[in-house]
Amino acid sequence: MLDAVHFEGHGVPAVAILTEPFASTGGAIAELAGFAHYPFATVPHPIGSLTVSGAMAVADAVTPIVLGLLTGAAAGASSATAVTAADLDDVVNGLAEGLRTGGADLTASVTGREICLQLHLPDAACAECVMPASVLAPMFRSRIEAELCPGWTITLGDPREPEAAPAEVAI
Amino acid sequence: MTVTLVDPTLCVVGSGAGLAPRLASLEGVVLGLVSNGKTHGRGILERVAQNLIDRHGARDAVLMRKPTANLPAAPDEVAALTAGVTAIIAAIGD
Repeated sequence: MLDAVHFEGHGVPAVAILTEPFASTGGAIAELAGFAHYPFATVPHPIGSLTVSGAMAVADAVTPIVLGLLTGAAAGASSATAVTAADLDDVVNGLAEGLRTGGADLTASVTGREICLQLHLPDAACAECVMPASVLAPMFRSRIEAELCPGWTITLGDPREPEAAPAEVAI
Repeated sequence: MTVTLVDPTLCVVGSGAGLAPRLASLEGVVLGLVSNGKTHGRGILERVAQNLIDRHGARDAVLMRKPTANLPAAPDEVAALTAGVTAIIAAIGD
């Protein structure tokens, strides 16, 4: 944080990326340096224990926030995890609309940067009329990324998957 | 006996010069990446920079790796990077 505000003081626009638990500390450091309410980007914690692909997903998710802060276009949230349960519910309800007409349903939970979708099929007839997970999965991902933001790890649980096979299809 | 009371509240010690002007776009911009050596910090910085180069017209990125996360960049390092870049991204505070 201190580096970012030092560069600001030299006339160079800067963005600091912090993990969420350090947001208040970072804000205090900026304020002490004379930059009260200094805007910065936050990402989920922890970072150090992520896999490389997980870290890259974080980078992808925070990129539009960095862009907005450098160009002054950060009208929205400064957090790469500002997506709330209500936001996710809205998207999932939209995805589930078509499924519900046939008696099926879709639910979701979010943990960090992972969204777990679960398909619910009440009977065999319903199971036959719903498209396979391999078709639904990319559609769901596209919609989630468009309506929330990119960078999510998404799994789709499908009760039609055989017992011996993995019950979830990674999207 | 004398008792000394210490005020533990924060007080502003910086100059508060204000935010640098924001950029109209990243077209042709050279990004300065300030890595503090934390795990994945450099990788995240380089990925963000590559995204900004690929999708938003930034021209290049220059990496500065600080020897320690515990101290701010040295004034001469700040001056050197300031001379060669248009914008800074610093990571990762954790």
